[in-house]
Amino acid sequence: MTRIKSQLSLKQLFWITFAVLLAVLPQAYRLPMWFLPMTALVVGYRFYAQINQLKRAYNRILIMVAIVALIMIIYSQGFGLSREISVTILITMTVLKLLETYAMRDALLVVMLCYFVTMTRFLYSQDLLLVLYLFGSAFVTTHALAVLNFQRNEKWFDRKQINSTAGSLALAIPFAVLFFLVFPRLGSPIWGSPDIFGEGKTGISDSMSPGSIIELFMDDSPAFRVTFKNDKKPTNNQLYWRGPVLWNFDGRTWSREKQNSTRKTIRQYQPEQVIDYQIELESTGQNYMFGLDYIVDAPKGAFLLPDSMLYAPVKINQLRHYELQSLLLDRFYSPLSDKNETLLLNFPEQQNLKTQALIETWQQDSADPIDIVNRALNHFNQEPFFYSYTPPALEGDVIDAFLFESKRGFCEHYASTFTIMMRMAGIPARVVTGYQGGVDNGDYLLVKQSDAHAWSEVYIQEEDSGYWLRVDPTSMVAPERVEMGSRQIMDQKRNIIDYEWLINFKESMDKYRYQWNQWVRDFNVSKQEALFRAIGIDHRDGKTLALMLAGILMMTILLSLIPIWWIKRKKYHDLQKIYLQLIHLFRKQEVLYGYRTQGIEKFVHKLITLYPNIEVQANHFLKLYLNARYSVNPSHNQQTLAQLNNSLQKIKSLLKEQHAL
Amino acid sequence: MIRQLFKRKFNQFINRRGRETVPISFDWRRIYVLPSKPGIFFSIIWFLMMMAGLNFNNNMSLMLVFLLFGLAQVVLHRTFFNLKNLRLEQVKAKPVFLGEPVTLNIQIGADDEKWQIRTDNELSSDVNNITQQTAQLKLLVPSHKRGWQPVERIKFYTRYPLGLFTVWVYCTPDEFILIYPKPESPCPDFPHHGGREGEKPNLKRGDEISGVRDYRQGDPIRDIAWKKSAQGNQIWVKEFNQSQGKNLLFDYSQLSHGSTEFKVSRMTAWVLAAEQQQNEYQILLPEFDSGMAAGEAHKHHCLTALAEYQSGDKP
Repeated sequence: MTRIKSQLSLKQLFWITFAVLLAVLPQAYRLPMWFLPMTALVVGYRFYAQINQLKRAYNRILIMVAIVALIMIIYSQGFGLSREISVTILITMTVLKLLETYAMRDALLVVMLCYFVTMTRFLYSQDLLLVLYLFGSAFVTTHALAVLNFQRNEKWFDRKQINSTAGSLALAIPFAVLFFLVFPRLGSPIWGSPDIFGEGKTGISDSMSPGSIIELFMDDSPAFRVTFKNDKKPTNNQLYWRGPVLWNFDGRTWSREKQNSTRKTIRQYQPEQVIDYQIELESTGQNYMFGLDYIVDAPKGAFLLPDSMLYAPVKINQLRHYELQSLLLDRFYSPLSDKNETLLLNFPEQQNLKTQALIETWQQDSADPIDIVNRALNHFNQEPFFYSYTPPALEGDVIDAFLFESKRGFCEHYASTFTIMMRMAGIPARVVTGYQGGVDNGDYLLVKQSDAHAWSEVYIQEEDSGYWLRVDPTSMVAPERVEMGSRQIMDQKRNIIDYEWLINFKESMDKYRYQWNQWVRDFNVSKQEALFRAIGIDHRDGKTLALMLAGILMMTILLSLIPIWWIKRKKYHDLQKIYLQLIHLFRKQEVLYGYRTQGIEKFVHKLITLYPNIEVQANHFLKLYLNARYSVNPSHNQQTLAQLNNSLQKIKSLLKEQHAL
Repeated sequence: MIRQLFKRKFNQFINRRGRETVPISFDWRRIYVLPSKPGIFFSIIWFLMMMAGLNFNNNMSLMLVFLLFGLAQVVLHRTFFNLKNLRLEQVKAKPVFLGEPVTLNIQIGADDEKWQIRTDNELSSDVNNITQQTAQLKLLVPSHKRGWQPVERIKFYTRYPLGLFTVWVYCTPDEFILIYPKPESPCPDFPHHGGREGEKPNLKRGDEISGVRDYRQGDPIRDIAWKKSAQGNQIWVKEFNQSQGKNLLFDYSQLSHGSTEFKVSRMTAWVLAAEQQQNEYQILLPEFDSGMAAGEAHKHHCLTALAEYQSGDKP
């Protein structure tokens, strides 16, 4: 229980703190509210203690602080051994560790923990931009280690040492790349699953209440990317990416209907109608997957619900790839059970009476469902309805208020209102949410969160069967939304930095992100096997792999050795070169030549015993050399060099006279 | 038992080069490399990170893991090269009295820059950088025996730049350090044997008896007050007056009792006391005569002779 004084210098503390902050802060967004103030307090106190040379707090106080933090974590994130809480505890304790980092041992511990904390960030996201974080954090942490080990001087930013750390890391990159490519990967996890780490829910959700889609319009981040095969890309107004289908309306919010069965595969179609494509879905933290209407069959690891919605049993917390086939059908023939029909005709009967009255007048004109659908669409088209991202807030009977008063809104309002109108007219209808359109980004189609959309689906009963018909009332008001994409109808800036060039920049950045996903983020066993095959290794058995790893290790060691050797190669300076010349004269005389390793004094003494007549010159040479080399004020200037050279020439000529050489 | 054997064999292995003449250049063959304690901790953290990265096939984690692996490789080589081609150029030490620690002044050198070259033992440690061809290190070593003590094995090591690896060399330079005998303490009174005639023989020793005192080991026999001693059991020794500026003679052969070490130790104490009182003094050892003189050089001359006396040959 000794209270030790800090053994660390302020510079060392600075770098440790820098490393800790860089490791923990990128996760601050998902940590409890109190985390940032706590960090500020801890860092502030630690520096205050360092500057005022306070001793370390008593152990029992530190333990108390740790326990309080633990209780607060449990209070904010719940109790349990989930990965989420484990990571939070790790991060919090790393920060708190600063409070007891007074000795070198603790400092080394906390710095090395920073590597681990940095890694946990990648469990949540592996975005391209995080590469910068990876290198930044690795550099600062490594430099903190370097500063802990050795301080060349007191300067906080010692250029030479920083360059040295950066150099070490740069030389490590070839290792990293080669090992990344050839280090054997696991086909399936030994424990747990990567899907347990998620960044929370993003994208379209399974309910729709006023204003829920508007948030998505503000978000230019990618929802998914689509690569069409055989260059069969549908036109923009055909790109309806089906997401959650909403059945139930409580007067304000739309929600899903739980279903326990699956939809059948579409069997009858012309092969040339089929659109083949692959989707790279960004993590959503939800179970919904997206596909073009109408999906032929569910991909592996997902199934089709009866309302043609693609559902993954495991939440999508990682980049997910799947291949789909779709048919661009106008009418999707499918039976509708009586139970479902009642559900799809349900609407709050006591509300929106004005709308009900309007529908009744329409029904009196024509009871045919198609007529009513067209009439409703015409209504939106001809009455002064406007597309607007900033509609007035609606209260009470929202359908009435929208239809007769505000007349301003976006897809959410139109789809919701239209669906309810159809139900009032006795036509089964539901709201489909998803995305519409996408940006052609070269090799692939980029669908952004701001492409979120909602539309309607009505069931038209024919004599012996019935079919679903997609109706998009928004297209009646703002046809360019469907023809050209969501960006075309943004009449005003969504926020203060919403510039055209910025959106374009983000889109072109996404190309790199796409490549990044292809090559790095999604590198796995199968891609590794393909790589091995490409370089002629078919078998992935243990022996081959071990041999390959050994070979790679050798190669990479050479890769790092050669630059180090090049930098460190022996630099004889001018003085030594002259001495080497002297030695070189006697390279054929084994005994004398053997003395070269024993230092110049012994060498010259031996030389004199062998050639007594050059004693004066040899001793002169020795004296000059030792003076120049080992004196307190080494003055190996040009003059000394010239003198030494002179002396060497004299010895040479003397020896030549004797024919000794 | 096996441990002892192993230890002996191991020591034989690292001492296999025997005593080497300085300068010694350390080439790659004699450099040892092992991870340091922080290095072992680093590898544990690294291993955990690798398991997590592989398990979740988290490619960015694996990138970091492999980057750190590469870093460890690079650092390993850099640490190694930081010690390679180091030279031990000189080992010098000022003589000390037996029992005191010796300060070894070690000069190391290299043609390139070397950082954080350390040396240590149980008594001390030192660290220095070589930026201008040479650098000095100081190391305390214990003194074991009077005379010329061989320099024991020295370890040079470095952990630069990150401290993850320890790279070290052992060497036993063929150098000796002079250890003076341990002076007897407290310093006994100067002896009164006449010995040889000096230049001022009458001043060499007080003639008047000032008193008697107890016999102490090593007192010359002829100073014993026989009459008084015969009266009782105790042995009494005559004390003579001493005056400053006398010429003192310390004759080894006149010291009658005690071992060689004891006599040498007593003479050392006398030499130091005489030098301190600015007397001229002379020591006589079998086959050695320092001559009557004073001063630092003379003192060193006398102490060296005392140190070397029957302590093995000077190397």
